[in-house]
Amino acid sequence: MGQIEWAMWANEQALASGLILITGGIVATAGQFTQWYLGAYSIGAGILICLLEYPRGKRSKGSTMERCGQKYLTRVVKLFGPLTRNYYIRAFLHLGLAVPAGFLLATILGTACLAIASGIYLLAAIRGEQWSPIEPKPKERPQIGGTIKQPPSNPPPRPPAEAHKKPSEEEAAGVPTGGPQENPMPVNDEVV
Amino acid sequence: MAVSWRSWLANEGVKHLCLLIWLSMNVLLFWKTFLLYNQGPEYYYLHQMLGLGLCLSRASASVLNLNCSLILLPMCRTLLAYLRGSQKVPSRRTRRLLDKSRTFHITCGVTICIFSGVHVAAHLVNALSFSVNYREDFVELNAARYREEDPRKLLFTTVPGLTGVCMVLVLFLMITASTYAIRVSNYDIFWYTHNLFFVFYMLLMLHVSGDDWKPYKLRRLYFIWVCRDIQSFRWFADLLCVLYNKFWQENRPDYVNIQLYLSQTDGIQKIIGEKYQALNSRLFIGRPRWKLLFDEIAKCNRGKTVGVFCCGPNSISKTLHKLSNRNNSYGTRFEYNKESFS
Repeated sequence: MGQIEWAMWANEQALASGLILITGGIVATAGQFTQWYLGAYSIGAGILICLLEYPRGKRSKGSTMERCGQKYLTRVVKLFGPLTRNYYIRAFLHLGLAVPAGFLLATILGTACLAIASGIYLLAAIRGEQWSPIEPKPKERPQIGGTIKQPPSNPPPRPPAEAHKKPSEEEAAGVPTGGPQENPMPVNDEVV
Repeated sequence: MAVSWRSWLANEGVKHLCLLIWLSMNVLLFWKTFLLYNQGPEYYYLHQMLGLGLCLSRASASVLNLNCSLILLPMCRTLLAYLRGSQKVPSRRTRRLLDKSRTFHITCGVTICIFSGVHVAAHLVNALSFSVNYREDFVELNAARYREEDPRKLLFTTVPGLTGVCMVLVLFLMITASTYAIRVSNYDIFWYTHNLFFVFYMLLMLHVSGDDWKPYKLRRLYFIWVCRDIQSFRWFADLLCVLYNKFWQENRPDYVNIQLYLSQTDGIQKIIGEKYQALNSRLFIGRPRWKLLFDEIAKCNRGKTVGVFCCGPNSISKTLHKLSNRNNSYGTRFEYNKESFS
């Protein structure tokens, strides 16, 4: 269990919870449930959560799969500095956002899911994880001739001295020839 | 690059055919169930109360039923390995199809996700409709217990509601841990949460049985009472008369079918009193002819389940028990229950 990065799972959960909140909110406002304004709140909270959670954080080891088009949101999320880097803050933010939606039937499941995500973020924070943005890699310009520094100092490798022996002596000795490959059967390059 | 049809058929054909069959089964199930609840006469009142929510929730439930049954099969690795290696599956085509088992598992999983969403949304609307449309006339049909009952209470205090909420949470944990990114980076999370499928199935069993909360949907009560002498009926007579009048008032005179038997008597006797007229016309001399009674009840309730409740001596109990197990040509099932106070 020591190597598990909980934040990544919490991130998936929070994103899914955001979508559940948006869906529940739409059902509530469209169905004109009583207290439908809580449904409108859910839609807003859901959108905020989705925007915050869309850019995936960088893994501590290995490469991280980016979500499609996440670099634009990464720039925005990075701007908030420690507010978005710290998972304790995220945990309590999600918990706080979840509470009002718990009063409406249509969004109560969204609350439950977001609460679970908040719990996992808390676990991640306790284990010292934090969000780091995935920076785009600077493109390396290929420099023509940049690797050629000096001409080689050694001649190319030559076959060993045994290659100069007569072939009959080699066959008696059972030593494989160091010369070019000799095929037992003639090989044709057939192009159909 | 032009596609070679022979290669395409060999590589993709059977797989697409199976997918088409699976898709047709889902569409057919959804459509049939939707129509049943939309137009079926036995669901008329329920449909009036709930509308589209009823049809959507039940149709999605039947699709969920199918996919939850299928989803475990592609993961029976021992079975698949056996099929692959055996003489029973000689063709390369079938073996290649078995290679696609994980993809099929994921397809069923995604379907379960989508239709769970539909099912939950429809039932949430139903809960609200039950609460708002509560009427005294249709108490048995309504899951709510009184008007404007808070639908959140319905969600958390009924067996289907509570198991449903727990299943959504289990599904949420399983799905968020099954994304490609998580599987690739933290396989442990995926593996441990996916083992929650066992909990999911246990909850599912409870979820569907919760609908049998009232096990016998009461359509008619046959009340058969056997006594030795006439005086024994007196202490129950008033209550029976009250019940009889009540159902007459509600225009359901045949809701309770009362039959009183006087087992040991020399001649015709009556319960004294003008107000017991209704009971006197339902008084029979001699013992009940159980076999004929069971036949009549079976004929009037074809294909249904009838609860038999016996409170009495062993001789009657044995007879009723035997008759409950007997076969009848109407497809009616008799479930026997016994209680005794002596």
